[in-house]
Amino acid sequence: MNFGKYLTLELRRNVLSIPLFLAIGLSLVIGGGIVYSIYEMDGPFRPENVTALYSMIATVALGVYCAKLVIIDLHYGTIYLLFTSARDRLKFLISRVIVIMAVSVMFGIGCGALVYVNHFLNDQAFSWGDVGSSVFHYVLFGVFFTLFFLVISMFYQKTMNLFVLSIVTILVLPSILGIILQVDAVPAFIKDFVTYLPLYSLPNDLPFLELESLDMVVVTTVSLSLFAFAYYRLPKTDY
Amino acid sequence: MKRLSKSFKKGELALSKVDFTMQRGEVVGLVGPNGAGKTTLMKVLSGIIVKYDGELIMGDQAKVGSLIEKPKFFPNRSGLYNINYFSALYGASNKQMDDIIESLKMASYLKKKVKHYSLGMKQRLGIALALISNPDYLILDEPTNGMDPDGIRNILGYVRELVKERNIGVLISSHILEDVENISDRVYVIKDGAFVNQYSCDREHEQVISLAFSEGEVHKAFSMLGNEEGINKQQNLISFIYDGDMKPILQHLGQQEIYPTDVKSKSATLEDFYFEQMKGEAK
Repeated sequence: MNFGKYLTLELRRNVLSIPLFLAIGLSLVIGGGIVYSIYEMDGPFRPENVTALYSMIATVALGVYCAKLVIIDLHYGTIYLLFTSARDRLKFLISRVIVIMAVSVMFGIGCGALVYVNHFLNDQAFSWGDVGSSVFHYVLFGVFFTLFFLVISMFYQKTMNLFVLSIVTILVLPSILGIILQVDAVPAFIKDFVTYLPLYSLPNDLPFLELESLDMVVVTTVSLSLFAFAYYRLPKTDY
Repeated sequence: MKRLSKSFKKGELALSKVDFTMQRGEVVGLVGPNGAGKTTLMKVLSGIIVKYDGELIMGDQAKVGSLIEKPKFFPNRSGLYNINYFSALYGASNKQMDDIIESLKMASYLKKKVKHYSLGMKQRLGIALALISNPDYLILDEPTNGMDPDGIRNILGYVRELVKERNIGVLISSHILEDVENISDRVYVIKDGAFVNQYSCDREHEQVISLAFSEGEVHKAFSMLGNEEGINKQQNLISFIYDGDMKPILQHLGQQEIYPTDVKSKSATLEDFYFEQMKGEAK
């Protein structure tokens, strides 16, 4: 398999896709609603409310993309044409990470652009650092969940169930973990563990772009660990 | 492939100490009942199953193209998109693609979305995609599924042509034994995860002998002949594959005053051989 060509084809297939532009467009419309209300009513909202509304659609759409990237070839069986050697499997893994980074950057830029529009129309705070932060947050989110779903798919290959699981992981699991944090009887070290767990911190903190440095370090470390595990395990997995 | 075994998590043994060889330039058939291990074997050879016991030795950098279980592609895209996608991936030239499309007679429907294809069209596309990487070995699991007789002849003829022109090795499985016999040089019969025998497709000298007996004598005749491997009894008929002189057998029966009411013989086919190996399985 020619890696350069494969990557180009996958980027074209996933980045230049109508569903992606629709998802970003819809996120902008939802987030734009807040911008508009600030503009019209001088509402009590701040830039973080703009990013939060944008993320309502964006995180779900990006999560779906993460799952789709991993599952689609499994679902259509095209991995039979791609996974013919250990080398090709690793090319597949690396391509998934690069493609989801590109998709995440698109979502991040969308978010940054909306914050800029808010600044332009409503004269609220803005810095180019916000755009960078937004892109970085979305990239962390995309890469982590893609690798997470990829690792799960090595052990469980029923694609529709995997897809449902991925949606539940992004939409429902953070709320369940949030409930654990509110239970007094739960020891503090478990609460700390849950707080820094990427499955909790990413869906909760990304909307306000407020991942702390330690959160970022944890997400990056876990993502690197998942990548290393997938790199080791993928060539040894039966499909 | 030396003493290759594969078992799944539930403990079921899919392949048991299978020894298998295939050269470039030959067509090897693989037949057996459902669940015998054909697909598992093909998945091992194509690199989809990588965890097994035993040894798999492939030539240096040997490329394998496969069509296993059902054709794989992006169904919401056109056949042409699929071909272009995978040919870009494997660096196939335009001429190579055109040759494949023309040989498999696919040009007329390539621009349609694959999800609208008939099963036969999908099979052709699956074969085309398996060939795009210019493989040294081609693995085809029931490639003629859903095809009309014309299509079957076209596909099998094309595969034979490929073997001759490109010197590729082909492993083909099908439940249509006649197709397998027509295209293969030799055929492995697999049952319960193990090879039970190998059939050479040039066994023209072998005959299927059918001896009919009266109701009273058929049991005696079977008890005299039935200890031999590969002898079948159905009602008053005893049949077996034989490549020698019939006289001694008839004389042996005659000594016990058992005489067949009818003796028939015809050239043995893979089907005869297969059912002989599957003795005990429902025909």
